[in-house]
Amino acid sequence: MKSLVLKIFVLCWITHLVVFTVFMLLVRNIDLPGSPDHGPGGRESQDIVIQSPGPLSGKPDRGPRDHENHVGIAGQAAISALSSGGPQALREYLDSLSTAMDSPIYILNDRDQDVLGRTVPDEAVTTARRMRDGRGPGGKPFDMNRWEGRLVQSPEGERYVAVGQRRSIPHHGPHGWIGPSIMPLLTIIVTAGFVALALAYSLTAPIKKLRATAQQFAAGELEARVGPLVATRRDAIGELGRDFDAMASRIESLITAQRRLLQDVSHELRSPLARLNLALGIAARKAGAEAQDALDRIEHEAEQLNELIGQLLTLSRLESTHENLERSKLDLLVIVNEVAADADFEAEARGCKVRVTKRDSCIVRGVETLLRSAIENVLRNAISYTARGTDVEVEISRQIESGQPHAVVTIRDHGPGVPQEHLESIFRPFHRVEDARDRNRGGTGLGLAIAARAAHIHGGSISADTAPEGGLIVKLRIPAVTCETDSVSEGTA
Amino acid sequence: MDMTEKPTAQPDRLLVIDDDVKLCDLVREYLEPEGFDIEAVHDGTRGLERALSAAHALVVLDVMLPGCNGFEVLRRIRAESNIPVLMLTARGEDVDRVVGLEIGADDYLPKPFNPRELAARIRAILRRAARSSDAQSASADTDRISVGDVEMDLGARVVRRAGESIELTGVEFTFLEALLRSAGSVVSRTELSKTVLDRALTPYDRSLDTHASNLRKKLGHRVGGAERIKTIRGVGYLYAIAGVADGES
Repeated sequence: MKSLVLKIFVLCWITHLVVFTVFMLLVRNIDLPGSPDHGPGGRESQDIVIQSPGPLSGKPDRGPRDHENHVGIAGQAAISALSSGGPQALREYLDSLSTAMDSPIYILNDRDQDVLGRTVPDEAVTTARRMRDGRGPGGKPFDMNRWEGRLVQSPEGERYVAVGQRRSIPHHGPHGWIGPSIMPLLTIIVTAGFVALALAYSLTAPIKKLRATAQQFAAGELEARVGPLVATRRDAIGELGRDFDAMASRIESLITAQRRLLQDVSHELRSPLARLNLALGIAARKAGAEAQDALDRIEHEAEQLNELIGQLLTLSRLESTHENLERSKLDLLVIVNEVAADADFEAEARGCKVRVTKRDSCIVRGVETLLRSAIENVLRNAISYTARGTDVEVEISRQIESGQPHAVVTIRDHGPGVPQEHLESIFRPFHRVEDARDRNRGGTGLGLAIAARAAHIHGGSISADTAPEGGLIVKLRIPAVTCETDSVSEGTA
Repeated sequence: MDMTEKPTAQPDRLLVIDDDVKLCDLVREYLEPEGFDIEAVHDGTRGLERALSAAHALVVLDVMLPGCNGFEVLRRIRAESNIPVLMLTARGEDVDRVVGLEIGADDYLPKPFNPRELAARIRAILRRAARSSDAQSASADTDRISVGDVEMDLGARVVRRAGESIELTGVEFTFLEALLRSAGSVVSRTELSKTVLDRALTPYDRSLDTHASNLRKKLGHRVGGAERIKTIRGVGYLYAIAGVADGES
């Protein structure tokens, strides 16, 4: 995400600067009509600098006009001096001017001669003629060294042309050209930077939100939506956001419908199954001895079905359960002990034992029935797979994992284990490791899925691993309460 | 075909409250040869009415009923009557059975059930009820148990804590009686299952714990600084004699 912000920012910034440069070039070219002798070769940068005091300081065309005025005013003053004080006064005046200006101002009479008899450069003469012919001040705009003329009239009615050279760049003053040129440039760079940054964020913020929502959604929060921040935008991202929300709603309704169907089917199966069980009981009572085997078999299968439906309902209920469960503080150790005792009782039938090898008290906040069912399901799975005559070992310890205290329940059996590639999928409903032996184990294929879901609801996790000497190790991790107190909820003690 | 159980004072008339008509017919067909007389009602309101008519020895109550939910029916029955109730809970909804017992059902059976199991549970509850009514009729005022602040009058079926009368269901009463008779020593789960629930202990069955929890709630968790009813892990329960029992914890 960071890199996207950076990319957009840099791209946008560069774009701003390039656009600005191109714009300046265009402006310069427009202002340079028919000037083959002053081609742009090597002058662009200077042009930009020269131009900058104009449009960018908000006082367009100030430079040239300033100067025209300057020539005009100086010319007018010079003529006044001439008519009032004669050539001497004129000379003094022009001398005083020349300390302020680099180039002299010539006052030309009708014959293109300087009033003071100075030698006049050809260009100045040309300019003067153009003025007199009414062809404008002439020269080329923005040519710093061009000559400019101005018609002036003496009080006596004599016409002169004041011709002066446009002030060269440095004459804008000590900070004249550096100030007005660098400052606007910096302003442009900084402003463009801010604009680019704002653009980058306005583009990436909704994408960030979209991504977060997609992650929530993937994690099972089916009601997650991008919301108005994104969906109310009128651009493509807004459309994407709205489409995402529409998709999410659709998926949510599909999944909800599917879960409801599963739940309803299981519910509906329960009634006929209950009747079937009763009818079976009645039949068993009436049937002769030779039918008993078959009837026992039917009863066994019906019991399997009962179990399966029960588990299915448990799982579908867990999957549609969110945070609205009533949680209480309880000691997971107590539950582990109780379930282990029960499981030991069950394991005896297979000549196995369930031993609790490590007992840490772990206070967790949770739903007792769910935690119990999680541990019970993992434990019963272990019992059904562990080899005859071996022990199932249970361990509960309080561990710090990623900075959080966790209750870790480890259950290991001494069975055939699970191939590496199935270690994650055994927590999926009805997942069977491809193995014919599996079929005869009983169980519904839902136990581990229920355990995983229960762990998930508690913000915990479940994982499986193969023990080095064979057998499966299942670890249940449930976040523990940070500060241990002895105020365990009653009813579990 | 076990016909050896002692008939109670009342006829073996059962009330079945379940909206599944066909199921009720099958229950009748199954249980009548076992010596029970079945009255079936298919909705909660009418069921409640019949349950309170004192015409039955036991009520079989389904959790899922149209109109009035099974728990609600049970709650209203318990508000007025101590008639034994066997709750048919929804299999897969572990919460249901606990809730049922908490409200005061005598026992529960997840549905779909094995009919043999149904008959066995009904008999177990009836036997317990018969025992206590025997005790009631045969009681002398000597039949009292008193431990610490709790006093049980087995004849009048009354429990008092510090003189204050406490309402217990039939199971809870039997449970408390079993604990008080051996106060200060552990009563095993196996034994409790036998005397209180009248059935063999099965793994993963938490009925006893729920009843114990109910007793704790009703009687108070502690007595004289000790835990009143202490769970002995994997073994059973112990009712504390104040100041003595705590030593071994």
